[in-house]
Amino acid sequence: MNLRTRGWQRWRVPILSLPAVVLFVTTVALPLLTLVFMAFTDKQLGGEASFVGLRNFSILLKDVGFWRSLWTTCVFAASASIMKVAGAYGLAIGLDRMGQVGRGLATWLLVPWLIPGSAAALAWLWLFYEPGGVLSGLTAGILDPTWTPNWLGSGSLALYVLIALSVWRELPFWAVVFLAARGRIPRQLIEEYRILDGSLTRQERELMLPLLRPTILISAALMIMWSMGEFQSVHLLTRGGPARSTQTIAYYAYEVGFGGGIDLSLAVAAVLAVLPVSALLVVPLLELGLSKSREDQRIR
Amino acid sequence: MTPNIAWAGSSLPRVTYFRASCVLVLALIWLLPIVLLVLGSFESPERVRRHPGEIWPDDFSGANYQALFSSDYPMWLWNSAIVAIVGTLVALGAGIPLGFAAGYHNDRVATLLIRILLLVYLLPPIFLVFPILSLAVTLGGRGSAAVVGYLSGSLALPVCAWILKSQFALVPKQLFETAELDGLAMPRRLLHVIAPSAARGVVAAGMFALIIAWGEYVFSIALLPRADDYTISTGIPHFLQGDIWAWDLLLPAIVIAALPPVAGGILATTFLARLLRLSPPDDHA
Repeated sequence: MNLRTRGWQRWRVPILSLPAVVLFVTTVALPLLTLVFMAFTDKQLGGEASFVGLRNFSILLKDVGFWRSLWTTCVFAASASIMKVAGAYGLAIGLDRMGQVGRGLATWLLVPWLIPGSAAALAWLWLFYEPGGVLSGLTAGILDPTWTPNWLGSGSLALYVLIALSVWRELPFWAVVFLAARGRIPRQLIEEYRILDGSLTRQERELMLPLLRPTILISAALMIMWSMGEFQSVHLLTRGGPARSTQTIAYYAYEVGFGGGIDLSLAVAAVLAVLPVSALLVVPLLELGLSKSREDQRIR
Repeated sequence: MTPNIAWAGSSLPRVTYFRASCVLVLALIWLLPIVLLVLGSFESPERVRRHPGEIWPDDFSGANYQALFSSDYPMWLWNSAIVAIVGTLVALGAGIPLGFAAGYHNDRVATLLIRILLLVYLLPPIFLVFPILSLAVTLGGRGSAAVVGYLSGSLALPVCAWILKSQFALVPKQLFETAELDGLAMPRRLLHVIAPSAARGVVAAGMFALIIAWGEYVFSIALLPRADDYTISTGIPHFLQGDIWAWDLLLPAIVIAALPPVAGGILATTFLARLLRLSPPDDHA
């Protein structure tokens, strides 16, 4: 082995990892440090920053809007994630049983997820827009011409529409993830189980579900985390309204940071304050999923 | 008697046909908004403005598409293309070497780095937008589509690195070693041995990065505030301003904005299906 090859062997990992590390430091690590720093200052865009201690957090804790946004975010994240897990699991079973056709269909079902988020949200605005949106046209034609609910103008309905949009976009994606996880289960194991007990429900409950648990738990953690940061659909469909009923914490932070008040440090504090809540929901799921995954690998 | 339940790849009994039909019907309902949107985009401009809820066009017209291309839309497309190209190049530029170290060399540190990246990038981008905006104002970079592309590439990096790691792990080591024994220099070995074997993963990772960067919204809204700098994601909502909402421009704008990621995504999932073992184990022996 010559000197050049030995040098390469020694330095190859640092060299090969360098571009990713540079990208990570400049776009995530540095902004995260800035985020923490800004939360304890009165920093504004382009201005100087002075240390203000816990003042931003104290303002937030007294703000009813902050607590309401936190609650809306939790309701949104929990409802959407439960629907996505249950629906995606059911869809994955259906697609799996369809064999090759199911796998082909899975690709087409991904279309809502592939469309840019803003385009999908605006398409839903066209569907649910009142008066004269597509949905009211359809319901008037098929059901009752006098029944024209104000989908985006009523608090609870608007939140349902946002949840439905999130489920519509992401459910097929998670179904494909679960389908891929099903594909990794040895077929021989499934065949053996089928010979022992032909009941599909039992097979699903006693064989497939335990084997898929790590994937399901990790996916659920990701779904919750991403839902906690939901901004785009709220911004384009409801702008947090009516009467702030659909204001998620991400939209609250945006309003505080870029809206009437323009208080960037307060916005940062809001975002930072929600992190422990997200972690509380997500970390146990991730931990459980990863430990189950390790356990399964040991057994295999 | 228990029905003969067949699994992937074998013949489908009647009960499975019923379930398959249910899934097909559900799939059609699921994709209905997209079908309606495409139909609506061919409606005549006057009718779609007055009655946006009328979904079946009286007479198919391409007038909306013509009008769209006389608006600022081509400029937004161009800006989105810059973001997407820069984002893809950045994600691949950082992801290929990292995936190579973790997958081909089976290096623990590189694999650990990918795992850390996957965990940290769980953080929704909106959480990072305020400090990034503050940094961009201080250091410069606000108003640059390339900076938004760089940030989008960063968001796509963990998944790209993971896809590439899986693909590089499949490259046969003997082939590389034989080429080395034959006296082929390192760049030629990389080009002639590694590149063809890893092409599928590179395409899949590239498509993923492209989809993420093309639909980027949060950073665009914060860093590209001027009308000239809008991307399609931040530009098309502006069709819905003022007294009369321009549904006639919005609908074709959505259809065109969706075309590149849908085409790329379908192509990528064909590749990804094999990488993720979407096919049953027997199929790819």
